[in-house]
Amino acid sequence: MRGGGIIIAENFYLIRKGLIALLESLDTPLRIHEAADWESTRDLMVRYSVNMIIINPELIPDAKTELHSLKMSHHIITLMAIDKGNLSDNIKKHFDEIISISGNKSELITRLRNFIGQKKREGEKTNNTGLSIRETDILKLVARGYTNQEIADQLFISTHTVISHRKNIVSKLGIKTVAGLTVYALLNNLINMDDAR
Amino acid sequence: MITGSMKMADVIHLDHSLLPIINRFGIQLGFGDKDVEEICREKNVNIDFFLEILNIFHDPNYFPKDHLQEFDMELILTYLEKTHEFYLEYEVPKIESLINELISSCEIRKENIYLLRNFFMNYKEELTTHIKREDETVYPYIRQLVKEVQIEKISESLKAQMNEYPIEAFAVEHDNVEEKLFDLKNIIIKYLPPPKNSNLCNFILFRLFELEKDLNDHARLEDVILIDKVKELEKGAKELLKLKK
Repeated sequence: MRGGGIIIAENFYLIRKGLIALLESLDTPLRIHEAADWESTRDLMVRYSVNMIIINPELIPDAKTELHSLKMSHHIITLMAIDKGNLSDNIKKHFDEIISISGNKSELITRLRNFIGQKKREGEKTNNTGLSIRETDILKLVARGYTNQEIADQLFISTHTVISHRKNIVSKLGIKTVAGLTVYALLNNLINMDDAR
Repeated sequence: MITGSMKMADVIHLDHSLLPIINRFGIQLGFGDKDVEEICREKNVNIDFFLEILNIFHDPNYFPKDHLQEFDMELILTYLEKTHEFYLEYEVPKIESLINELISSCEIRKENIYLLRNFFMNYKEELTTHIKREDETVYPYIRQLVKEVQIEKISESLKAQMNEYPIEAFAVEHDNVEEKLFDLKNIIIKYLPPPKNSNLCNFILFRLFELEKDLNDHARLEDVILIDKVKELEKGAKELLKLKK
């Protein structure tokens, strides 16, 4: 796949800009986004198609759970941790690559080049709007105004599963609100006018 | 960085999207060769505040929180009210009429654009309610708070409002309005079947982008600066109430 996006998430301005300068020197086709906190990182992930993230793990509140669920829902994203010398192995194991800020220029460049050169694992196509059949079923119900509980009851699954499907729908479609999802469903004839209250 | 010694005309050449912001300070086109400082002096505009507002709008990475918090509350409120006026009286009605124009220019698949308009009207209503509440309830409360803390005399009505609906409660209500606008953009970019008049459609999209950027900056001023300042005042008011007992 050509291009795609990479997020540099780091709160220290100098480190963030430094990493960006190094990446740019590699002449990558990746579109570079920057974030100084976790909230804006998440926001960028919804907004743009992102396949790589270089992040300071300290920015992530409750890093272990967040990283785990990130891997589950976005298996197409590869992750690199910014190590300031204080990362535990417990955190490191969630990342595909680690970059240490104490490295010299050639070490940093090599790390980054390896990282952005990584191929995504086989068989995982980036089909941004391709919802699975299950997700489409759930979208139809959401668009018709059903609550998570009602959807769970109707499909015999837990509300937890419904919520996790909904998160995936939002990030695949780039539409966050129920009203917006309804418009999407109508435009694509998934439901008809009478269904949308 | 935009500075006081720059010519105002050069500021616009550098970033023309600043024009509506500059207008909010009562400064209109026809700058001649005057620099920012001169114009601010003429128009009686606080130049420190003016420059900070322009710079945070111009550079998304620039946000001097501590400095912004030092500004007078009235200065901030007046600016925020002016931006409200711009949204409700100009920008949002303008986008609405453009969408109507798009509908009348369509011969087939009109119903898609009607969907879009419904969604937009929904958004407009939410935004209007939100802004009205700020103008009619929240800002007057803040002004009263400033006044009474200053004269060190807290009235019963203020006390009641502070307990019932402190600024904290208002702070959580911001998100949904932003999300709707984001969705509206994505629906046009990704999912709406291309209408016949694509130039008009592009134009609508550009305006939505501008509106979003403006609203985000506005929300950041409120969420980060205004709310913190009001929390401080509420703390001060509570201290005063304790002393009285």
